Amino acid sequence: MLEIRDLHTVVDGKPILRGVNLKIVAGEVHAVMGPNGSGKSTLAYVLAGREGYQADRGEVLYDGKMLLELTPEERARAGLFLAFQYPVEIPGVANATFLRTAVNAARSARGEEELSAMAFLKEARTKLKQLRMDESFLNRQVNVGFSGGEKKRNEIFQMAMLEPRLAVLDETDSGLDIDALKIVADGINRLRGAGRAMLVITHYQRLLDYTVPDRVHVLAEGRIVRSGGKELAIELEKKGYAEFSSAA
Amino acid sequence: MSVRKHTSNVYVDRFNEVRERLPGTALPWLTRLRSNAIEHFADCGFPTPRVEEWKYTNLSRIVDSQPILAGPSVNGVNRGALEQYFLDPMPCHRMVFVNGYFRPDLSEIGVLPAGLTISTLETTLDNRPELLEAHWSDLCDLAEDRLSGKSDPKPLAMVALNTAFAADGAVIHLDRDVSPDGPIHLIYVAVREGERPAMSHPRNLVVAESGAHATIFETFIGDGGGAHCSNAVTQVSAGPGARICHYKHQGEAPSGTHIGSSHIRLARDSTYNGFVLSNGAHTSRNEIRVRLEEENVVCSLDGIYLARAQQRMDNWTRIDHMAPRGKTLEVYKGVIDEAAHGSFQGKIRVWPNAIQSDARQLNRNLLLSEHAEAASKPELEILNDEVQCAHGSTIGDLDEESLFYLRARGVGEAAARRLLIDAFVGEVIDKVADVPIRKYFRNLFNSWLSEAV
Ligand SMILES: Nc1ncnc2c1ncn2[C@@H]1O[C@H](COP(=O)(O)OP(=O)(O)OP(=O)(O)O)[C@@H](O)[C@H]1O
Ligand SMILES: [Mg+2]
Repeated sequence: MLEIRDLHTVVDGKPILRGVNLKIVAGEVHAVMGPNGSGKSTLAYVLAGREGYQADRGEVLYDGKMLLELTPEERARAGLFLAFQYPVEIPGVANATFLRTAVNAARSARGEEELSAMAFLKEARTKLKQLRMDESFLNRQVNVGFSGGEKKRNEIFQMAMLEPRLAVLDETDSGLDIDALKIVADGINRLRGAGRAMLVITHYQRLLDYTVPDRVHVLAEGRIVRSGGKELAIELEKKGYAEFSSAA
Repeated sequence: MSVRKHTSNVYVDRFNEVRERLPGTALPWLTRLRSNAIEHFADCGFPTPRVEEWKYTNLSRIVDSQPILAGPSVNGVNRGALEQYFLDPMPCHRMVFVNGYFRPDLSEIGVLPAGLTISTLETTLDNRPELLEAHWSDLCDLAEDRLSGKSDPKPLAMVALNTAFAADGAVIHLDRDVSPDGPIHLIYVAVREGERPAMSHPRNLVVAESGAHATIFETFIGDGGGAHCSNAVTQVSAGPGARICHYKHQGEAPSGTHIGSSHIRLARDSTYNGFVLSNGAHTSRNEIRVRLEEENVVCSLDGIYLARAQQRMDNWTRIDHMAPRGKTLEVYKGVIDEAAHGSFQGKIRVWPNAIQSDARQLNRNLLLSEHAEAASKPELEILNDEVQCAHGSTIGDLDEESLFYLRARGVGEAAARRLLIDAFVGEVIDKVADVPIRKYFRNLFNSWLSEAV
């Protein structure tokens, strides 16, 4: 489903990704771990198409398509979803307006009929209930005044509404209390399955207890330096990243 | 100096030609007022950007082309062309003016409740001149005080020109406690008069006696051709406990010039809600002067300016807290696209005796293109310690991070931009309390937005 080949990225004149190779098959969940500043979010931004985070070398195939040639919205409509490490606050735009615009953009891109306000509301309420989130979320301005944990939950809510085929979750587990972590993990697990894949960026083993990954990768200094099964996460939790650091 | 004098001489000559034909020539106070006004204008000439208050308004198009003085128009404006500006069906009184002159055939004044008078300047000069006398003369003491201690008449030169030439306009009077259903809609249409563009000087007066409520909506539209100029003055006076909602849409064709000057006087316990949306004219200036003359006045003043192409939009406001416990909330937002220029110059002065005043002022500008420009000059002048005041000002582009966030959710770039512009302006439109008028501004903004990228 996703194949990243020799991906290089320079951000602000600084080489950040220096030859990333990664392949995710439909149905799998992969975890990416690695020290602060190693380039995890950069990788997520390159995949989502953020300006200033272009690939200088390498390519990314998504469902056989050249992902990097698409605009961010085209990627999203093709089923790519990025849960932001730092979700953006948008004053003046209601969460419901924002989500309905997004859901309908994807639907019309697929040639489907747009959801009416009523149908959207019904769908949104069901998803909110599953995520044990309050309905008032819909009326609030996008992420404005949300607590850190609420912002992360709002990302999962959006993911649930958009039902992406490939979800990239950038530290969605950071800053969550124990109950919220379970809810987020449930949200992830609900989308897990044939035809969908996930790339979960995390610093902690904890999330991976609930959402057991098929593969775990270590990103250090812009490269995947090690890959393994779920036990790799447990090992990293104990030993840290010292062995991957050139400075050590 | 000599060039300006020369130009203003043209207007003095013109004044001498028409003075005998202006309404109310039999009233000595008016004759005196007009003579003083044309002298005032002759002394000052058209304000230039060198006059601090006119820094962002450039009238050279008018100065150079010398539009003719508008007359009662023979031009066939038909009702059909105006209907799109009418408010949704509701009890509503409508006066239409073409190039500043009342057109009964296009107007619709329904059955009026006792105590409400809707009339024209000409009629009022005939049957109730004292009302005009009381309000017209007091504009003279608005001259700006300079640091030198002298008062400077230059900023008021266009008001003086209006006073000299004004021949028509709306005069609305509400007796004590009168509160009509629905708004009074004043529509001013600019049209070409033969070959040359014209300059019109509508002069309006709204007086609400104590406890009265009124909603006044002024709409300026039409295409008067390149050097057309509307030089409008509207005076509003709210008596004790009166409440006035005053809306304005400045939406003339993007070729002409609009100079609007509103003068608002507020007595104790009164409420004034002012709102101006500008999207028209090539060069426009919306000047609003508000005086909280007595205690406990609540005032809100909101503005939206939507500029594109080569438009120049200037917003100038001055709010005087002259008595204790007044409250002002002023929010102006500009969206400026292409090579347009938008500006806000706003001063709130809290006088020494105006203790426990609460004054807040905010101006925000959104630039949609690299050639768009904005200037923002909010100012608080606080002359006593016992006040709560705040002001703020921003000029910026659409937030890149927000745009990316929206696009990463599948919203197309153009739609994402529109959503963010809508969020920026929408909260000001939402403050409009009268539903049909809010809808009018909403539709107007939506159609402006649908033409933006
Ligand atoms: N816009 C930018 N301008 C300058 N430097 C940047 C920018 N974006 C990322 N970087 C740098 O690139 C490097 C990788 O950043 P990135 O956010 O990808 O790290 P990360 O692995 O996600 O870290 P963390 O675990 O702390 O989230 C860091 O050194 C960061 O400072
Ligand atoms: Mg990161």
